[in-house]
Amino acid sequence: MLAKLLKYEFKATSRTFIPLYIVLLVFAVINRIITPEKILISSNSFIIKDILAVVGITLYIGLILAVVVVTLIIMIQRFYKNLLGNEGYLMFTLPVQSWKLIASKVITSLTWSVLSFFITITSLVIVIGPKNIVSGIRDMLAFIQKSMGGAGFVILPIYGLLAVVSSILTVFTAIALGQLFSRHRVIASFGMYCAIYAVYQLLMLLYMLLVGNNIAPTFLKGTPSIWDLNLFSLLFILFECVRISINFVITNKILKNKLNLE
Amino acid sequence: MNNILECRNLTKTFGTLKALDNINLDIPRGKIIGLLGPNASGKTTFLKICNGLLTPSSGEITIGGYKPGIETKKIVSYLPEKTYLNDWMKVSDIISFFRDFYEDFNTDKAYDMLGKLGIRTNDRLKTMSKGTKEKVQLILVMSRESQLYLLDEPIGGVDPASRDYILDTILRNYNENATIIISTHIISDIEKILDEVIFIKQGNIVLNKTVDEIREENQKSVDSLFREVFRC
Amino acid sequence: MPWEVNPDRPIYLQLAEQLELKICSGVYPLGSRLPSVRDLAQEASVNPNTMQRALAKLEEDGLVYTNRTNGKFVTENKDIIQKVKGKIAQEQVKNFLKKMDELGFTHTEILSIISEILRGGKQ
Repeated sequence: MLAKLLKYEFKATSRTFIPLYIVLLVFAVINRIITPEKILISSNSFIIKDILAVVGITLYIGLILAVVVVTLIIMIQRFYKNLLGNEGYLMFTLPVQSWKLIASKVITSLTWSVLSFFITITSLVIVIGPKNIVSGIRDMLAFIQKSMGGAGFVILPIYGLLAVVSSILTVFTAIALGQLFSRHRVIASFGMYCAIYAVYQLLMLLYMLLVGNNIAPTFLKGTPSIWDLNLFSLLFILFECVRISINFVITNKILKNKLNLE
Repeated sequence: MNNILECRNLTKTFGTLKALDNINLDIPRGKIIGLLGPNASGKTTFLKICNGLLTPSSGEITIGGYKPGIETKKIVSYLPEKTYLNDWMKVSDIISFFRDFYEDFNTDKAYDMLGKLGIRTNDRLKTMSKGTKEKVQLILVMSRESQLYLLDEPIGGVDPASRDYILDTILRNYNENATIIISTHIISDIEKILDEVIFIKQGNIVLNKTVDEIREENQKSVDSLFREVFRC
Repeated sequence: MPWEVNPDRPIYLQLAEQLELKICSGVYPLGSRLPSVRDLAQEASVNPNTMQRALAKLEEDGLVYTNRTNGKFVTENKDIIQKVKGKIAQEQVKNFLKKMDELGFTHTEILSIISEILRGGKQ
């Protein structure tokens, strides 16, 4: 059933994302053609070619912003509109468990977030040219190797993914909590999001101090050892796992037992 | 299992509002039943509880022996008052959606009924009028071979010809192992196809009889009796 | 002949009467097979169970019988049909006479009105 839900989620969302990605990449190519690297360095002449280049770059940046915003909006919309709007009458009368509905949204949102990120990077490579980007990436990889060793290449991506899942779920939980109110649900959701965010920031700070003091003392002293950095990151992975679990359980409980569609 | 639905002391409160007050019902199989009452009498609340869209405050309800949940959703086909279809879909998309999730969905029947209305598989829901979308939803619901059909206001706000079409579709898809519960406040058109009627007033059941019993005992139609019972 | 259902009497009784009429007038001839309950119900836009009740009443009265093959058939007994026809005729006349009585006509006046209309019809 989860697979079927994913099929329809992707069907519903790819109609927006695929064209957007294509437009972004096309614009990247256009910018590559009309804006060779040299133009990005300031020059004194002010001819049509330069104006075109500036317009091109502006539009390109606009498109990147659009990708970011659209990824966020679609994520919210799929949860809010599809589950809690009129479509909820369809979704919640399907013979599927509510946790699968949540999971399908999380997985697709995660996928699009990651894809949006990589497509954006790809478009940057197209516009700026591989040399700068590749050397930048190489530097970053070397840095990770130096500070965290080989384990860093496993731990950091995992943490990154978990952090994205965690943010997605926090939004969902906030929307679900907003549903508990009989009126002004949207404002309540915003309020809930701020509240949850604040709580987790506080908890994270406390956790960091706790871990810093007791488990990985070298971390707070400014020269963390490889071991401590890895340990620290692992503990943060644990933090995110707990956070994800709590959010998931709360959201599921609300959708299962406290659902009240308009 | 002779009754498809049984509920005991079913109550639902929203804050201080008691939407359903101690409902006791035994609904047999193979009947077409009218759940009749004015707006805000508790009809939609009751149907939502049957579907698992709301949880009871107290009391219990079983459908086919199960509490509302995944097992009941497999055997209950629900037509809500709202349009729940997503505009971007084509007819073929929504049909494969239903086929994917519901084992009892009869694809041929659905295409047959849609074809008779002149709706083609590649039509987008976005291009359809509200009335047509409502008919599509009805067709989807009636194409499932379920044990309990719950139709919430299927003929409200619909022109007379469409009303006839809807009632005809309901009769056509009737099968003696399934029960259809129609919730409505427009009674005269629908009286002839009902076996039994349940009057619900402010969350309470005030009457539960067959149509012919009402006509024999009262020498008037259900419609007239309704006007009496619910006089403002 | 479209089916008529009036609001104030039990539906199954009205259906039974109209089925009787159709049988007596030959719409469903002697010995013929009746359409299925579902089809009849569909035609009349009524609940199949109600139509079933109407047919059950006709079976009680002997106008209709159920075959092993699960179809319902009109009786082949002409006498029963005649009796039912006679019963319908009597009811119609009684209703007519009641109305005429309310209007204050005497029996002689009623008979002459009838002859006049019948004569007019033949021309």
